[in-house]
Amino acid sequence: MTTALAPSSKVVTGAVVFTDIVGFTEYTALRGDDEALQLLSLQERLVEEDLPPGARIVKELGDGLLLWFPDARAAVETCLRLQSRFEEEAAASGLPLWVRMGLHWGQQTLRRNDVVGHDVNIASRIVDVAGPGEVLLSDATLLAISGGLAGANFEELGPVVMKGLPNPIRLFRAARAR
Amino acid sequence: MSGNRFHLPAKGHPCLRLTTRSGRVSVTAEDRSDILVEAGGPSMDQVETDATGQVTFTSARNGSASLEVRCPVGTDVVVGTASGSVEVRGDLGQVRVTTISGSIRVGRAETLDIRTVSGSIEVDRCAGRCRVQTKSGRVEVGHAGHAEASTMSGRVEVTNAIGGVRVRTASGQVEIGAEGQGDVCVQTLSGSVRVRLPEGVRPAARLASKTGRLICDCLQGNDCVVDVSSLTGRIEVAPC
Repeated sequence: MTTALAPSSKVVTGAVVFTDIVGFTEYTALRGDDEALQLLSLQERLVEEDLPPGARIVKELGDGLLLWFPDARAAVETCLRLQSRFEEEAAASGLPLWVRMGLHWGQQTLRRNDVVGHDVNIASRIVDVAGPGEVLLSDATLLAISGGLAGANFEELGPVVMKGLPNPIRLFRAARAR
Repeated sequence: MSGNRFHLPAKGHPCLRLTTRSGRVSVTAEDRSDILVEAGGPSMDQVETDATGQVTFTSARNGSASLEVRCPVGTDVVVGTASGSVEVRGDLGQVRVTTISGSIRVGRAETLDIRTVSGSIEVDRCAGRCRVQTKSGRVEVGHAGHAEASTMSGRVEVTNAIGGVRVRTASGQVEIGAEGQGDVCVQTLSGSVRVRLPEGVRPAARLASKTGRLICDCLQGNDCVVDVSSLTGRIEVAPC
């Protein structure tokens, strides 16, 4: 028997964002694959246009994306800006670009172009709690941006118990200040 | 309930923060000046209080605890749980509940943010902003100052919205009773939508459905905006 040794892995610190298009399965069933692909392309195009330097789309996940940002503040600002653009595009095009986002700051292990690890899993659980048009983030993310961001407010949802995670995570809802 | 019993003085403006992995959570606001927590789970539960009036109860790591809490009227409540129903009775302040599979029922609150993935949500009355969200469960809100609701497949019913209403659902049916003092915005993919307005209210109705029938029995005006869109659902706006 041979045992494959894991190659040396690199650990990075950054913000992981999961996006998810709410209602995508229903939309595909109602409108067909071609229109569903248009919706995916629209999401991806808007994200690519708005990503700051150093940030990247790590991979596509069905109707969602996994994004990575080296800077927490830029991550939150980008997510809020993207939600505004998604709303505008949805209103203009009539496409149901109902995107929810979950964001967590922590450490990730690079695996080729992918990022893996506990902090990635936390971000994927956070997006499950978000509703369409929402940006939810962990207390670790809020701490990384020193508790605030000009032009944004953060409303605590409370300690949230999530599947597979031993401890509750304090979540916050980020929104543009009005 | 057998288990741990904690009796705490309520200081300042009380705020309860309750976290348990599973088990039923019941909070009752009543005419009293203290807080009583009865936990039906394992020992090692943790209760912390601070000078601001915040009481934090966390069940043992990975543990489950049924919680029964009695607190003063107006208490703010924050509950986090994975499964198990959550029931909040009496007059509360700010109420925030997040659970994965449990159902949530709230009596009266000043403001609300409640979310469950697969459970249903029932709210009797919320004076201010009432934000509710579930994936597959149904939503029933009695009276709301301003209602925001989203579901995937669950039905949404808001009996009486004083201010604005915003609803998004993929396939759930939507029934809104609005006072006409705020704008109503509903977006669905396949769910049908019915909006009721008081007799005499003249909305600016913007209704759009690719294949569903559009009916507006109200005279058009500028009293409020009723903006409803659906891909295939039927849309009806009518006086009560």
